[in-house]
Amino acid sequence: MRHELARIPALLGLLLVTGLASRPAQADLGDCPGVAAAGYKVLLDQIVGAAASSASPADVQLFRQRVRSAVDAKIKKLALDTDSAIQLVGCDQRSPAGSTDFTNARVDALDTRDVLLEIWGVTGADIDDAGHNIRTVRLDFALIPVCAKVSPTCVPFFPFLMQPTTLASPAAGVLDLFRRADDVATYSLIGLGVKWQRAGDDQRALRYLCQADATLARGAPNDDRNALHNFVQRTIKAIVTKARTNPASTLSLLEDPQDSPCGASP
Amino acid sequence: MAAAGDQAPRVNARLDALTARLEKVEAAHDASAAPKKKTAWDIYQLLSPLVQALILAVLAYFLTGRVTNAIQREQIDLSGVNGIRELLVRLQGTKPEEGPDRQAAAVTLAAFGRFAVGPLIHALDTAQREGRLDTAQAAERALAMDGWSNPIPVCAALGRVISDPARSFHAETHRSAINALARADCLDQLPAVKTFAAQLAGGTPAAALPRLQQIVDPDTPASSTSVEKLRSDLARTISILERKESP
Repeated sequence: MRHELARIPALLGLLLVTGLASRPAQADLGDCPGVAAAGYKVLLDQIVGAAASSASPADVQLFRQRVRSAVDAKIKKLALDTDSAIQLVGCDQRSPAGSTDFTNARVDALDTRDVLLEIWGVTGADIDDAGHNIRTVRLDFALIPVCAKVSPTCVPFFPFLMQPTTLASPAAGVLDLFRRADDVATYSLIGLGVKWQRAGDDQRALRYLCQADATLARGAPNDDRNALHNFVQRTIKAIVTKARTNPASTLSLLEDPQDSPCGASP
Repeated sequence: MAAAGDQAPRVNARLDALTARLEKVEAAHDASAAPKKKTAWDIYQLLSPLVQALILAVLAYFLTGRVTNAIQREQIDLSGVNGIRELLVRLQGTKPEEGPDRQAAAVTLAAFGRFAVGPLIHALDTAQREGRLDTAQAAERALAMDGWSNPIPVCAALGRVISDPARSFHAETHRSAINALARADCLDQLPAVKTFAAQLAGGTPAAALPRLQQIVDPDTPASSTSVEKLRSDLARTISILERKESP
């Protein structure tokens, strides 16, 4: 009887929590069954037409196809270059509203599934400085394994690409966007480098991070790229410093990794 | 005449003696006629039928109540099966708009106590296998909440997950169970958690991956990231449970 009575506060607490938890605490991103596959993954979420957009459904559909094929081509090339199992996974039910949708628990779950990058996008209508109607194309990225902030929990980088275009179809803007930037491959390389660093293979981590470093150094600088470049260089330095104090490190075979770690990496 | 006069005192004396005896007899009679004081045995004999009837009535009341309660509980349990089934369907919904409903279904399932443990572990493992991350997260939370009010069955079930020799569970199900053990204060499972941690200890995550693959379902992929996250969560769970264990 005492045992039964002792359960009452616990049950009341449970019901209270039930009531609180039944409120929609966070928006649901939607499931993406493809994340269960083995290997590294780049997720491509829904590409949506903005509410104010005058783009027709056919335009948006074409836009989606162009983005998908452009990203797929980049990923396939990257998989060959890095000899890594990387695949593009389409997540048609997912549509993040922004970085706030990437809670710590979600980022953690995606990281455990070896998701390197999540991409979503929007196309819409805008008016340029001269008052002309233009199209805009925007792609957002979440670099899942890469923590822009570590404390108290890992918050990934959220860079984006934006392309205003005077072209009639936003789908045409996609080609412009991908011709101009090689960000999908660069971001994936950073993700791979961080993953291998955490797995304990310094040599492989350094190889990918150095490739990303070189690409970031070549591109047009902006705040996002500068922040990422700084992160990559800090990580490279940390790997080399650790390798010098760890005789078991795979980097210990290199002659003088401190002076030019990227030059020395295979 | 003189002889009659001599006999008179003797007769009187005999009469007195007779009177005295008569008085004694009367006194004795009066004494035996007075009411006797009742002993405890007398009272028991008097009240025993009443007491027996009362005891029988009380026993009958409690026994009937218990049997009725047991029957009613079984009826509630059986009617709860349908409720659990509906909630499981809602928990495993895949559309984004079903998200809030999914969370509510998970925590309501937890209110079914020990009856929800098996279905929640099944839902958790299925979601981890199918990559339904929000569903898995909701099921893990529900297990932890169930553990607050029903620690014995929940902790025992979670302990069986992490010690499963049949390798039935996905690596991430193991990780969810380890996190839920900490949330539900499963102190009795601390040795099992430490055994799991010892199996993964030593070397880089990449080097420890084959050892993890010997623990989890061989048909589901585990990565060195799983090792890294499991190590971190195992250390946290051990730390939490040890803190709770020491007064």
